[in-house]
Amino acid sequence: MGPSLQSLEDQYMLLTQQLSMILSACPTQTERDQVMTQYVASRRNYWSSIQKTFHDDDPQVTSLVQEMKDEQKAIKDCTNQLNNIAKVIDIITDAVNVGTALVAKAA
Amino acid sequence: MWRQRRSLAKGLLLAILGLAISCKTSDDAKAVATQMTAAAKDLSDYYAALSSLVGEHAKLERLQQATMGVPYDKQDLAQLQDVQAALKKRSDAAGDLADLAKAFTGLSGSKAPADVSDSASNLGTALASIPQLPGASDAQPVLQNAGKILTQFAQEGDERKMAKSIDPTMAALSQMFSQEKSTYDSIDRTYIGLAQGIALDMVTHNQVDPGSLMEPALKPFDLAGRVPTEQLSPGLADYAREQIKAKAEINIAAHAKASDSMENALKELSKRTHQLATDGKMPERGFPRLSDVESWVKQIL
Repeated sequence: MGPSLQSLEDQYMLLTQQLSMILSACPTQTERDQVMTQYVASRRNYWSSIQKTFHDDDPQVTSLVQEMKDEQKAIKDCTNQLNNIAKVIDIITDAVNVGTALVAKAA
Repeated sequence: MWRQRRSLAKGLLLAILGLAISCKTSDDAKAVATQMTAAAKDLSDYYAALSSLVGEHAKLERLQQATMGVPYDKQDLAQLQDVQAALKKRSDAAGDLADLAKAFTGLSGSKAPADVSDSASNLGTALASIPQLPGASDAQPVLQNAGKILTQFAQEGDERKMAKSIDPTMAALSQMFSQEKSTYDSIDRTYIGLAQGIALDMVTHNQVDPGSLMEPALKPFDLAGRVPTEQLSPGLADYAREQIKAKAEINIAAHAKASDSMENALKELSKRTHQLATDGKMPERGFPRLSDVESWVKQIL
């Protein structure tokens, strides 16, 4: 397993650990749905990557892996700002989009 | 007369030496076949357990939908079923290798059972269905022919050639396991991680019966625990969380140990098969223990 799959696993597991807390902080069902959509996208990215052979030496993949790490940090930090759930959802969406790009790149 | 005796003695010595070498080779081939049978059986069970784990992961995703409302649809199920199918193919291929190795074990050199040919052909078909296997596309025709060749080698008592024919397959299976091992570890970690996430959420929402936590104190007296209030006491809830986290670590470590042991065994077996194929002998008799693999498999299946 290269850093690509590891990054996707880390994101999926981090969101799994934080999911209950983030959902509890969502004031409306719309926001809950947004969070769950991103969570499911992260999970699907992870399982897609299991079946693929990654080319970790690809510089674009290496750059995306670094971006994933930065986004992971942003997710961890944002759980301290649950009072601003819109911002939290934006951060999670950005992070999951990087994961989706990573899976597409590795396909 | 003296020359005749000397020539006879020389011939006899050569015949005895030849027999001794032949017997030795036979023992070595038998040892490799026996070790291969056991390791391939454990490998097949390991893949079957990992495939079963992915099935359990699917159940967890369904449970997560029921308890937390996380979407789970046909696409998710299909994704997991694909992974399960890939692992099952590996399990089948390892099972076929175990059958072939077992057929080898039964060969005495003079008689070649027809099932060697069938086992080799089955293994070829199974290996050809695994695209990630190094040289998979060539596996089917090669092993189908290998079945016939193996039978011929067995009839001729040429175990070195028999080992040579299985050597690349053993090396490919070992190499594939090493290449994919970290993915297997990841599958196990995410299964435990998801189970842990759901379990902790259930503790928070008072959906866990703490009876088993009280059992050590009450079991000696044939008593069962009862929670006096609707809500778990903070102490009991913390204890339940502690147990979930501790057991998650134990389970992940058990799998990591099992996959390490399996990888080492396959490498060793590949080395020994290659040794028999190239040197015509394999003096090693002990084999790395696979009890870590067997106990992890037992825990899952």
